[in-house]
Amino acid sequence: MTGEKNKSTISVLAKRLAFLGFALAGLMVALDHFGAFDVMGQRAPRRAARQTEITGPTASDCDYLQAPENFRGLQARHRREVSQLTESLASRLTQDDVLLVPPQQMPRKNIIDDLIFNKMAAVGIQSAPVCTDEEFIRRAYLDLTGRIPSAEDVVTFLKDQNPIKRDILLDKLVYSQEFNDKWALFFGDLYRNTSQASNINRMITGREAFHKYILDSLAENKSYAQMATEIITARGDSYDSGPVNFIVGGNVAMGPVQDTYDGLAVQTATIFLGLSSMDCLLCHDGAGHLDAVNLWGAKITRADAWGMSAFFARTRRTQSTVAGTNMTRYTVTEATTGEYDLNTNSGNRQNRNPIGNLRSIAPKYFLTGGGVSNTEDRRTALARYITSDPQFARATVNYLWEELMVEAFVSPSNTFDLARLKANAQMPEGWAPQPSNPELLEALAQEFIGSGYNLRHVIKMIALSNTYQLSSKYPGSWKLEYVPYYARKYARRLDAEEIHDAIVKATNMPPVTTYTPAGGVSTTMIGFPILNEANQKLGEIQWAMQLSDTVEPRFNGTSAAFLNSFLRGNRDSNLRLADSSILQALNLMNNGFIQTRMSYANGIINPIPNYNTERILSTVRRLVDTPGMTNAEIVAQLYLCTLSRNPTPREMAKALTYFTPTGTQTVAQAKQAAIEDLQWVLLNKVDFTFNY
Amino acid sequence: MKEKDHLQPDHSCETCQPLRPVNSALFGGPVLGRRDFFTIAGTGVAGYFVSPLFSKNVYAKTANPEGAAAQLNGRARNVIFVHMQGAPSHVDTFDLKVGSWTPADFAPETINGVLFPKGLMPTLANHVGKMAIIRSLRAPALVHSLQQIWTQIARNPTSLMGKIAPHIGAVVAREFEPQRTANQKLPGFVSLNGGTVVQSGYMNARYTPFAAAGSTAGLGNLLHFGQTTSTTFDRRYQMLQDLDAENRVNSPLGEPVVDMDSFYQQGRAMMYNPEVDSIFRLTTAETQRYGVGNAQTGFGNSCLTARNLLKANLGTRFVQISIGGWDNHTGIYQANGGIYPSARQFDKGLGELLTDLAATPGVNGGTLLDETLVVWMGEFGRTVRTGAGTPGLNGNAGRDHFFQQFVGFAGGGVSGGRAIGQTTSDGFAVADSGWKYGRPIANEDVAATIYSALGIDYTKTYQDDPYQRGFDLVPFAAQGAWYPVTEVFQRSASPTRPKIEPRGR
Repeated sequence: MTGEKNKSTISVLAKRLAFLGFALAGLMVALDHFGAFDVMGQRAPRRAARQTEITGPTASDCDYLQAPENFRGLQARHRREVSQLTESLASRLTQDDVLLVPPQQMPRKNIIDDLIFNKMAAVGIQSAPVCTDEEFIRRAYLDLTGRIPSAEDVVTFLKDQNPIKRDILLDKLVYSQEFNDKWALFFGDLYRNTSQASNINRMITGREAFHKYILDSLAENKSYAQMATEIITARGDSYDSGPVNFIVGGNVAMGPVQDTYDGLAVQTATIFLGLSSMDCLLCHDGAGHLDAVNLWGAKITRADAWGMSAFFARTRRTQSTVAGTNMTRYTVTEATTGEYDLNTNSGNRQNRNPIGNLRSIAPKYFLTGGGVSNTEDRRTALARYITSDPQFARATVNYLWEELMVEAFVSPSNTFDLARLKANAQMPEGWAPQPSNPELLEALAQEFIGSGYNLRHVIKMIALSNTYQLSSKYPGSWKLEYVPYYARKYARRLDAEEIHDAIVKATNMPPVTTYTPAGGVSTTMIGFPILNEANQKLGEIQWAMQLSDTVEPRFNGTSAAFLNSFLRGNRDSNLRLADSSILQALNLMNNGFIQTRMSYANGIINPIPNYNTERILSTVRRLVDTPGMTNAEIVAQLYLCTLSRNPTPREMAKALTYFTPTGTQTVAQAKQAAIEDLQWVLLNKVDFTFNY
Repeated sequence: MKEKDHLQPDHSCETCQPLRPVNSALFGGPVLGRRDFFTIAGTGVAGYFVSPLFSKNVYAKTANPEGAAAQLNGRARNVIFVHMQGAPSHVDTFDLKVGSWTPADFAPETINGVLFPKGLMPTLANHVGKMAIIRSLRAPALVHSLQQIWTQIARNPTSLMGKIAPHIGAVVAREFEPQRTANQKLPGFVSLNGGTVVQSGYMNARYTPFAAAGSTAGLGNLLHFGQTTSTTFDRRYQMLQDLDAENRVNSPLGEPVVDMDSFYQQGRAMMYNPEVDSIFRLTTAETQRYGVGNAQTGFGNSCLTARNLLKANLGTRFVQISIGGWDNHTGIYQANGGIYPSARQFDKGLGELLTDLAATPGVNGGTLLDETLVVWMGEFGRTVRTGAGTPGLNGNAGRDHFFQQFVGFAGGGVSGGRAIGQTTSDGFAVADSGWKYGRPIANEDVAATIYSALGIDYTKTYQDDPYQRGFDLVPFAAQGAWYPVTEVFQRSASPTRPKIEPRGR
C-alpha cells in the first residue's frame, strides 16, 4: 500500500441488510476458505484494511496486508452460499429423469431469457431444465404470495392441459390479495416499519398507518414512482398518513438536527437508489475510503453528500401525546426556512465545519447536480430527481430480482457502484462491471420505467421467464462460477412468516387467539387481533404473512414465539436471518404449535360464540374421519397438503407400511397413528422448510 | 506527511484537523459537568461520537504507552451476566450515598471497606468479600433500549458495526466452540428470564442465545408434546429418518442442509436426556431458597438454572439473566414498591447463586465460582439531585435517568471485597477513576474485562463481517481505545490513581 489515497479503507459496502427481508448476512458466515473468484467474470474488488483514519495500515497492523486471502467480495461469498445451498438441497431431492439443456435450445419467453441464455451460450454453460409443474406451483405461490398452494390448487394445476397454464396461474397470483400481503411484508422490511425502534417509537397506530398505506398502494397497483414520491414528500400526522412514518423513522438520536437530516438522506438513498455508501460519505469524502470498493463513491465528497441531506433541512417533526394515554404521535411539516448548517462539534458524525466562507450547504442532487429554487419545496424537488433517475429503477428491479431469484445482480443489493454499471464502462485496470448481467439489469430497469413503474409488471415478467422456471436440480457438474449466469434456480430457506403459514395451511388449523380489549371482555377469535398500546382494537388478520410488524402478534404468544425462533428480526437492531438453529428443530419437533396441528384429538375448532365461524377440522382429522379413502389416497393427500407434491413411489411404499397394525393395535388405531405420524414427519421434512 | 505522524496527538494537518474535538466536554470523555448536562438533558442523551477516531484521540493521552497488547487474565471459563434492565439507582445499591432520603431499612453498613445497604440486600451483604465493584463507570446515553443494547455489544448501536454486532455472549460462544467436546450438547450462549437480549448479529445463528426458562415443570420442548416417555417420539423420529434419509445424508457440499440436520441431531440429543432435563427441572425447595419469602421468582429460578447449566458443563459458557423493574422514576422508596421488589429478588437470587457457586467444585480443581465470572450492571444509573440541584430525589420521590452507574464483578479470578473508583459525595460524577488509565470506565472497558477474564484476546478482529470492515471484539481496543479493568483481578489497588476534577460544579 503506497500513497495517501490507498491508505485507509475498507469501508462500508453493505448497508442495512435487514432491509432486504432476506438473510444475506446469515449466508455469509462460513468464511474459512474461499477460492479465487476472478474467474467469475467479475473481479472481486480489491480489499484493504479496515478504516484507520489516522494510523494508516502498515504490514504489521493491516489485516489485509497480513492475510489478503481472508478478504473476498461479499458478492462472491453470497454466490458461494447460494450455490452450496442449492446444490446440497437439490442433491437431496428425489432425482427424476432430468437432463441438462443446451441454452441455445431453451425456449425464450421474454427478454430475460434472451439475455440469460445468450450469455450462457456464449460461455458454453449448460442450463438446468425447466422445473416440473409441482415444483413450479409451490415456488410461484411462495414467492408471489408467501403461502403454499392448497392440495386442490396443486391437483387442478397438474390436471390442466392448457400449454400456457403457468402464465395463467401467474396472472391469478399477482392479482390476488395474498400478493399484496406478501409484498407489503417485503416493503415493511425494506422501509423498516416497526412500532418501536431504538431511535424512535412510531407507536402501533403509526406503524399500522404505514402498513395500510403500503398495502393499499399495492392493491391499487400504484406506480412505484408515485409511491416513492409520496413517501419522500410525506407530511401531516403520523397516525393519519402512512408515509409520514417513513420520515419519522429517519430520526437520529444523540446528536444535532443535522444527524437526522443525514439519517433521512441515508435511508432515502439506500432504499430508493441502492446507494448505502451514503452512510460513509456523510462522515468523510469517498477518496481515501472507498477507493478499493466503489469507484463512483471514491469521487464523491462529504460536501456532495451533504447536498442530499440539505433536501431534508426544512423537514420538521413535532411530537404530541394522545390525551389520556402514553401514546405518542408526530406531525411532519416543511418549514419555509432552515439550512443545513456547518456548525456541529458533537453527535453521531464528525464535526461539520465551515468550508472557507461557506457556512451552510444548499440542496444538490448528487447524481445530476440539480438544486432547488427558492420557491420550490425541497422534498418535492428531491422526489422529482430520484424518480426521474434511472438509478431509482435499477435499484428497485435489483431488489425485486433478488427476492425472486435469490441472487441479486448487484449484491448486496444496496451497494451500487455507479461507475461500474455498464458492460462497456471505462474502468481502471483490474476492475470489472459490478452487475452480474449489466445488460439485463438495464433492460429490466427500462422495462420498469416503460411500464409506468409497475411493480406487478416486473414481478410477473421475472416469474414468467424460463430463467425463473428453471429446476433447482442440476443434473451435471455444477460449478460455483456458474452462479452469476443463473444456470439453475437457487433455493432459499422459508421466512418465518412463510413457515408459520405453511404449517397452518397444510394442516388447515388456523391460530386461535384470546385477548381482552380495553374496557371489553375476554374475546376469542380465529387469527390475530391488532391492538394499540392502550389495548384498543385497530383490526384483525388471519395469516402471519399479513403481520405489519415483527413484534406481532402480541396477543398470541405461541405464534409469536414460533415466528421469533425462525429469526424474523425486529427491523431495527436484529437482522432477519435465514439461519437454522437448535431451537427451530426443537420447535418443529415438539412445540405445541405443531402438536395441536398434527394430533387427531386437537384437530377440531368448534364454532366460537359471537364470532362468525364454522367448525374447522384439521387435515389429519378429516383424513381419519373420511370413510372410503384408501391408505394410498390418504398418503397422497398428506403429501399434497404439506409438500404440494405427490409422494414418490419409494415414499409411498414406505409410508403405506406404517398403516399395518402392530401388537394389539386395531386397524383403525394403526391408521390414525400413521396419519398423525406422517403429518409430523412431513412438517419436519427438510424440503418443507425450503423453497426450491 | 508520513503515516506515523498522524499518530501524534498534537500534530496539525488538513486531513486530521477538521476532525478534532475542540474543547468539547462531550468529546472530552463521559464526565459531564452540570452545565453540560443540562445543555443536553433536554434530549435525554449524551453526545457521543461514533467514530473511534475520537476515542483514540481523547484517550491516547491516557493510554498505556506499550500500546494495546491484550492484557489477559484467563482464569474464568464461564460468564454469568446479570443485566439489571431499567437502570438501577447506583446511589441506592452498589455506590450507596446515605442522606436524609435514605430509608431506615436500608441499614447501611461498611463491609470490607465498602458501604453497603445491608438492609436492602441482606443476602448479598454476606458476599461483599467476593465483589469488586466499579463505581467510576459512565454510561454514554440515557435511552433504555439503546443503552441496553450498547452494554451487550460494547459499541454504539447506531454506529455502522453496531447495527450488525453480535452479543458479547455470542462472541464468547464462538470463541469456545472449538473447545466443545462430543458429549457437550447445550448451546454456548443461553439467555434466561426474557428482557432485551441482543442476538448473534451478523454471525451464524448457532451462537444465538438459546432462550430458555427453568421451572419445576422442566423445559417445555425437551419432551415431545409433554410425553414423559420417548416411545412415540422415537417412532416418529425413525420415520423421519426413513422418509427423509435421502435429504439428510452427509454431502461434501451440503453445509446449510447438513447444518439443519445437525440442529435436529443436537435437538434430539437434548430431548429425553436426564442430564439436560435435570438442569431445567428445578426442585420446589431450591426455587423457594432462591426466591423471596419462600415463593419462587422468575429471577431466582433463572439463577438456579444458570447454576445448573454451568455445573453440568454441557457446553454452555455464557449465561445472560435479565431482571427488570429498576426504572424508578416515582416513589423509589415506597414500601413494598419502588426499588424493593426488584432489589429483593436480585438479592436473594444472586446471593444464593454466589453461595452455591462457591460451594460447587469446578472442572479445574477450584470452585465453580473460581472459574465463573459473575457480572451485574444496569444500562445506566439514576439522578442524584433534586430539581433545585441539591442531593435528593426528584419531584415524584423517584430518580430519573443519569450517566453515573456501577458494575459489579465476582468470581472468575476477581479479587473481591473492594470498590474501584469513587464518585463525588453525592454520586454525581467520577472523583477517582480507580484504575491506571485515569479516565472514567466505559461499557467497552467492561467488555474488555469480561473477555480478559476468559482469556479471549479482545483486541482481535473478525474478518467475516458483511461490511468487510473487520469486526473488532472491542472496537479499536487494538489501538488502545479501551482496556480491561485489570484492577478487578489484582490483590492490591492500582498504584496510580490520577484524580479527575469534576467540572462545572
